[in-house]
Amino acid sequence: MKRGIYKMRIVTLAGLWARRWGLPGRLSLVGLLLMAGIPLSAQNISFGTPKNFSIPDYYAGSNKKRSVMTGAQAIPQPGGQVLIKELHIETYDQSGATNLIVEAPQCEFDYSSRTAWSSGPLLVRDARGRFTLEGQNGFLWRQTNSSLIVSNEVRATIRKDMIKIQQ
Amino acid sequence: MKLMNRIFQKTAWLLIMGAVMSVPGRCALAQTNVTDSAPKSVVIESTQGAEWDFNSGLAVFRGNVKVTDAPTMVIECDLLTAHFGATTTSTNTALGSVDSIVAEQNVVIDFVTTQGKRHATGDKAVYSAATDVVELSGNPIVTIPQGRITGPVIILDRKNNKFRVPGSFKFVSSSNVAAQPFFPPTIKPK
Repeated sequence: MKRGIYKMRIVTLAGLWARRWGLPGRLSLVGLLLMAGIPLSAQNISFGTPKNFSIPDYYAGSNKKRSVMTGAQAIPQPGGQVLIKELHIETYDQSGATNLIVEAPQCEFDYSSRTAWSSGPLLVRDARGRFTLEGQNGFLWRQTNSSLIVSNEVRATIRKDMIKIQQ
Repeated sequence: MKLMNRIFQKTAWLLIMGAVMSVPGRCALAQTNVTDSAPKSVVIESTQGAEWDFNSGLAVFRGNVKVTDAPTMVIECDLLTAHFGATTTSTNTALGSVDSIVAEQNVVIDFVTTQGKRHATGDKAVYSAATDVVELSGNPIVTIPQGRITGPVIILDRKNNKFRVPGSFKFVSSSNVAAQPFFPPTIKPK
């Protein structure tokens, strides 16, 4: 019963966060669960690990999606971060078309700074198949300013029709 | 005997027809294969990582960078910046086309011209996608079988598979005996 109360409070809190971030409530609950790793553990309440979750990000002042992060599993980590298994990020332009697809077997994610990082491999590809970027030894993705840092060995493949040559 | 003649004539006719028909077919097939096997991508590799800013469209590659545009050109350097142009929609994650590529620090370029393979070095190379030209500067040197050509700037014209040295330049023969002016037919000094 007590656990149920906590759940209610958290869902309410989720609603507040949802308003602040402009997220739909149901999705924000997932985001909140990710964010709330420490409070949950402090209260000794375990919600398990969210599976097949999805976290959208929206253009400022708009309900158009800028990106959606999905994962097979999210495991709360000490320090408020979350370990995401089978990361998949899709970014969209204003018309809703998919621009980039970012994939990694796993990474850590900090919701407050919207930052994802890993010491493992990464694959970034253009939705139209014109471009791929592969890293093997770590990366840092900052969602807020759309920047990506890939460590050590990097291989980018750019299809020639992506190079504007005037005939 | 007549039967043998007929069989021989028919066989010869079939052979001739087969040969005639197969020649263009083979050529077309060969052309198709060449076209299909030609790489359709440019590969950029680096050993010290890369940074990509999708807002500004800048991608920076560091450490032993190698750009392979097979079969015509390979560029090696320590720092490479690729500029991706704006897209039709002004979003912060859209990936536009490549506008230019700047290679810096220990630039080495191996490229194929109409007269054979050439090797060039310099401090900086700027590739413009609009013109399909690479401008090599910073003590640029092109090595040809007869010697080395130096000048303030060396331009590699990828469209026509040629290089040129605008303005004053110097040719040093491969024997290194003496420096002498070099005026290839296609190059006219000021």
